[in-house]
Amino acid sequence: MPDLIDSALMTLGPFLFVAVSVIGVRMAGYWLSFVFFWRRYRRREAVTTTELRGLDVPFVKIQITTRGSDGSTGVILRGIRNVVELGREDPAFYRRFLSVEVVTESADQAETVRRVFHDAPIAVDALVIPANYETPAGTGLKARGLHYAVENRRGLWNRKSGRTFIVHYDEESVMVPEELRKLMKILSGTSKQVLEGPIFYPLEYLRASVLCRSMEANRPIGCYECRHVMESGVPLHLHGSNLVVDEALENELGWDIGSLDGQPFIAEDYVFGMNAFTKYGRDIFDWHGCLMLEQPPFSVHSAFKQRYRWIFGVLQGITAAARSSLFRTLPLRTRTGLLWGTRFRITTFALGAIVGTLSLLVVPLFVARAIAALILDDVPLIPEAASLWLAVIGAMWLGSVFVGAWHNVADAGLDRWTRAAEIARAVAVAPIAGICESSAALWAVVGWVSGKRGVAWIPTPKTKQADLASIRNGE
Amino acid sequence: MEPSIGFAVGDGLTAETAATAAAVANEELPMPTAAGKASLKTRVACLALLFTGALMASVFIGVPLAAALHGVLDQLLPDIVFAAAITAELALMVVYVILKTEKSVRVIPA
Repeated sequence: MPDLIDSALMTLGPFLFVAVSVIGVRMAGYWLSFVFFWRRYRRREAVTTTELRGLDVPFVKIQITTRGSDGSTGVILRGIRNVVELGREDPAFYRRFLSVEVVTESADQAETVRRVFHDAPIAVDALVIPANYETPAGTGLKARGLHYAVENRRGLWNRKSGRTFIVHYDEESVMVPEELRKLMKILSGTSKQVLEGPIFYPLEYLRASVLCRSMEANRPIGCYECRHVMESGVPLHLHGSNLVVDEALENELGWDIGSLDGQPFIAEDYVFGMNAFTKYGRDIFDWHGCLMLEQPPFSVHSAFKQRYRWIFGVLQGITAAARSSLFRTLPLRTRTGLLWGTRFRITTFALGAIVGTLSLLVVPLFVARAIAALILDDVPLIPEAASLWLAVIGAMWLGSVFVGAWHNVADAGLDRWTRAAEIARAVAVAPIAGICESSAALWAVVGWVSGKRGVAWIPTPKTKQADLASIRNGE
Repeated sequence: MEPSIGFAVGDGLTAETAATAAAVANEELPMPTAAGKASLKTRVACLALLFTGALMASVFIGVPLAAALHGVLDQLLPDIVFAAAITAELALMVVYVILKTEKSVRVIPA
């Protein structure tokens, strides 16, 4: 038996060490941003309406683009109610420049939104995407709805005479009035045209499964690096919510991103970022640092599908970019950095599934051996420097879960004991949650490599009931 | 907050759909608000989870760190004490940064 264990360690150990090191290098990117640039992560100074009155605030249109699927109306109304709450602080002032636009495939949903907010202090309008609407390039899924809004704006819908920003929301996105005021202050002074901010996941927190809460804890630390990405202006990553775009640029560029080998793009945000970068360069990007709140997926099923779509979408995006004639005009170093930087990210994400699974076998053996060597003063299994490196990687990994869980529960309305318990819970189940999450990435990569290209836009269900229905329907 | 909404069947909706739409429109998904006091059960569960989380940190950080320190200190107890101290110190530094990023974010301006 000891021989078998030794043999397993000797066989798997070196591979695992290398694989874990690759992932460690990736995590170091997050931590560099966290340790050295955390001051730029969030806007910490409070902004008042009085302060805003003294500024040249641009027009701000909050756009929620949705399929209008089951359960989405309630969460959309929640997001709008928070904007309306800001409008109530000074209706005459905010009405001048702030509005909400819902772009939906559901006429019923549009009607509900209009009726609920018909007497709101700010304008709330809804645009129904006709079932037979087609973009010139045949764009599908969410980008089709986004481009429909662009075409309407080009046609002077909700036209404003002055600088205007579109703040893109997902269905469940919420920005509380405090963060909206900060955003308006930033927008009043920026010359940049594409900006992003951090997203935390405290909404409906305890309704999500334990594994989903732990998976979601990985995301806020990624946003620390997202700041670096946006400030450096190289869109290795761009998320479609908490994305603020200058309307003039959006109208010019549009969301008519077409398709790839006849299949629509599922990560329209990534493709949009790449298109903006190749056309306008890196100087248009920036980080606004105002917080958006969202909710975790309710089930592992939904979380798996969501992660699968992210990776599959980015694989579509880099393939399309590599084929683009405009992209080929970029300097070789930029192209290489973008393509291989993205591939490196995908690889480390997918590698997590293999490393995590093998670690379930190897880590107990390694720990038992290491403890035995310590107690018996025996020869260590691996050199001290290697042990130190593994400790650093372990600290970065569990630390990122710790940081993310802390941010997620901070606004979840929990007492301090439950907050502490939730952070500890996220850390405790991190090995299993990590495997679930990265398995989706691995599955997407395997599917892509084996020639799969088909995608569907099935938004993550926004209520527990819709989630259960989605699982029952096998979506 | 918003006035209650009525949907008429004559609007092109079936009675059932109208009722559902009205229910959705009037239902307010609550934003999280500050919770009350934790129960004893919550506190015990919290302690158990903190212990489990600490165990996980020991496995992935503490043990390899102690093994690395063994080359320098060469004694079991100092290895463990220093590994635990370094881990705790790192955790405190991380908490410091988190609290700094959240500081004043919660202050609601007048």
